[in-house]
Amino acid sequence: MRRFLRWQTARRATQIAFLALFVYLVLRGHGMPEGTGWRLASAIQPEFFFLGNPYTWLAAGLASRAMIEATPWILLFLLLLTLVFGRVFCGWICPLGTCIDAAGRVLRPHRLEIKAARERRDRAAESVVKPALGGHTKYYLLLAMLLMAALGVNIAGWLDPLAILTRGTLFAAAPAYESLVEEGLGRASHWPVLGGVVQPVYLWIERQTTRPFPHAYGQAAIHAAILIGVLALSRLRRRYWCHVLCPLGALYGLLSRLSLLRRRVNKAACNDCSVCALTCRMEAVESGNAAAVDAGECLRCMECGGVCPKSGIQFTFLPPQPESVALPREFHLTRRGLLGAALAGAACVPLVRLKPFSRMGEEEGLAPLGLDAYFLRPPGALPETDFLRLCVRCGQCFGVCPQNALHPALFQAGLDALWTPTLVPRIGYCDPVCTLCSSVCPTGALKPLTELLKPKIGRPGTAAFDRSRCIPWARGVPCGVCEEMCPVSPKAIEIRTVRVPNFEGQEVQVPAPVMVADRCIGCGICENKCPLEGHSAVRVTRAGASRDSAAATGYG
Amino acid sequence: MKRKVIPYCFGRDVTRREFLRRTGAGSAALAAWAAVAPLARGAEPTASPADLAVIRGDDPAANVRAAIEAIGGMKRFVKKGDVVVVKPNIGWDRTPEQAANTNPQVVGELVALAFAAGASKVKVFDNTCNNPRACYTRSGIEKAAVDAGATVLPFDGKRCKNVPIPDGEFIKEWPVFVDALECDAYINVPVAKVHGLSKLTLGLKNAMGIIGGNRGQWHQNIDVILADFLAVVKPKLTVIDAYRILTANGPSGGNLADVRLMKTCIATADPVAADARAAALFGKTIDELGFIGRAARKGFGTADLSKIRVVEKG
Repeated sequence: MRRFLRWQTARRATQIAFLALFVYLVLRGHGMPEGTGWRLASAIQPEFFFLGNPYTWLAAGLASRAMIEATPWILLFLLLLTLVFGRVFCGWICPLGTCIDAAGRVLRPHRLEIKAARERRDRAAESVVKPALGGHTKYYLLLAMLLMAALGVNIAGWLDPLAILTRGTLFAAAPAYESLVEEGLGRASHWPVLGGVVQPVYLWIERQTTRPFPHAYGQAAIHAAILIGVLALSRLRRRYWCHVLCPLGALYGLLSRLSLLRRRVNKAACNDCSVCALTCRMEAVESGNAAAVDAGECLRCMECGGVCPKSGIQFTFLPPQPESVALPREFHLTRRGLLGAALAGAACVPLVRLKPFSRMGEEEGLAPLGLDAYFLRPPGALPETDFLRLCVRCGQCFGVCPQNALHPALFQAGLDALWTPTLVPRIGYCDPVCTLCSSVCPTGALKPLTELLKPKIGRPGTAAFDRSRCIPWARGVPCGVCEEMCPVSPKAIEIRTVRVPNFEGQEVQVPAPVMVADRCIGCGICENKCPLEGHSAVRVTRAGASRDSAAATGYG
Repeated sequence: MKRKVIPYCFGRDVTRREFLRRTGAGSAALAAWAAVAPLARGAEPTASPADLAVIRGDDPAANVRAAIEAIGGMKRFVKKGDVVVVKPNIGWDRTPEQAANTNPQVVGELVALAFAAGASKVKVFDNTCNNPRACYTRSGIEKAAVDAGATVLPFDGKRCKNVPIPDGEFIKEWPVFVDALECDAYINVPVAKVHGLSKLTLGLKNAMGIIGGNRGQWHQNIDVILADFLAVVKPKLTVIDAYRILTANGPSGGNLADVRLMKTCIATADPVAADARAAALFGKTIDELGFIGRAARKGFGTADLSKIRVVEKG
């Protein structure tokens, strides 16, 4: 029993360590200026958790029909770990799993848990032994998602637990935190007396734990709600998400069934009290038959070993005594269920892919012609079709952008582009020497760029003036903020003296900006800084984006 | 310590009074000046400091020191216990060699001089055009200022106060960063560069780094607002960094081919004279720069350099 308490302490410590790593990567996984470019502020790549994500890796690989380049060793390590020890990723590592455990402790007090488990046991005693909740739903979801990926629609990231946690923290929690630092500590640092003490603390925290530019996202509430929803499921049952829905958990569960480490019960000691079955957060143990365990569900959390009044439970590679047994629990994946999942997945392919605008050019990997002219992708994005097949919505690129320039798409580029990154220069411009987003993409949907190559192969588009709104052109009043900001030399925007009618209709001479499109690198700082309200009078269009050929956008 | 708050510097002939007090005090100032006076070229040796100093030399910091010394020393501008603002141009995500921002050594030296003159706190900040942290870091200014003991503040648009612009023709009221208003000595230290609309960006244009709001609007009548704004914040001391100047594709720059090494520093208490003298570095006349003429006409300083005592050295 003592031994199990120690194992549980070790497990909790590991869980907290990985959660801390995750939080660290959210807080420090951003850029800082160094030399002439940007480098990551964190000691390890912020996409660390995605480098070892077999689910998104498999989906992206199936969808793109290619091995994702440079299979990371972390993935191999985790697969090996699972084959030896079982589903320990979910029980010991997954930061969302840790959050769910924490939520479960609050939402699902032990008393309630035991009561519900008793009821379950009584029910089970009457009927066939079957998990009370749809514990196999996750396998069907996994099948549907991977089948869709194989058919070319990769929306696996919608349900990936790490992506859900990343999006929730990056889009909602981190901006909320940054605003707290700025509005709270920042304000306090100017207080008459206390300010002197607070100011150095504020300046340190601001520099060490907030982004170079505070982030904010229009979809913050949506992603916060999804994350809170996943955590709130713990009210129904501890680890509800992991047991019923998580497709990554399903994948680890399938591997875990082959694992060497097994939970074994000493039949001689067992008095069928079912305490272990009642305690199990994953319903892995069969009620009334303690030796029967679903190895795909067991997280090796070691809790059951600690609660067994007879000390009859052991986790071993080989049976320690002949009477120690590990019985496989009935596995209920039905042919009907599998067929249904496959059909549903296949049916979803056209449903998700079909767009209200023209799909002309899509076969050649081009952006759909009818797509909004101002819909931009981050620099280095592959042609649209390839990009959509590879992007797993992991959210990393949003977090590292020093300008908050990347935002998750909603439905403007089709349902299959939901939560993929778009560049919105009006909110943040694309720093000409920054290549961070492409450096953290775990699947290569964003092609790695270098500072020098970025203007050539990472151009998101070209800026164009709307002279009907531009202040000098439309009103005969001087303005040249866009020219002032243009970072290329010679400038892509030039100030020329032109004759235009002013508001009274009189011809006046006025300095006005003119675009020299060949020099434009599509950074969008002109669009970002235009003093007009609402839409800028100079906007980056997809014209000339380096990922498209001229045929894609209709510009020669 | 009682903190003196000067929301509006206009109308207070501080430098003049200070100057009289110092000459009245006598020997110390005379001795200091006597040491520098022989170095002055084209100016008669005199008991009083120059109105404007132009110093050339290989070391940007030494140039600043000599320039301040030539116009009467930092104690003329900073009193013991003063809260001082040193306002460089940190507007761009550029390295010092690219000359889009004030030279960090110049900023560091000014901070050190302010502390040596008895400043209790020196604040450095700018409302940047590019990513604020990138500008603060890449310009080297944050490090230089912090090393010299300054408090480097992030600009905060919410920490701005709407202030009226007295006699403002184009704009009557604008939000201004509180820390720029509430200080005892405001030292303006821009870098000299070309600019698309205002032709040059010098001392007066550097004020755009202490304002909030949709400041792009200022460009609609830039010469007028730049001159009018001196009624809100008139620097006690203007130091124009012309160690490297940007001669094309300003103010953002980026191309080293556009940078010219001038190794020059201009210091004066007169914000108008500062810009007028710096314009000459670009071969521009005062008539080409509307903001200088307007500021002189409104009585904020003199644009006619023949009317003031100018010290040139190096």
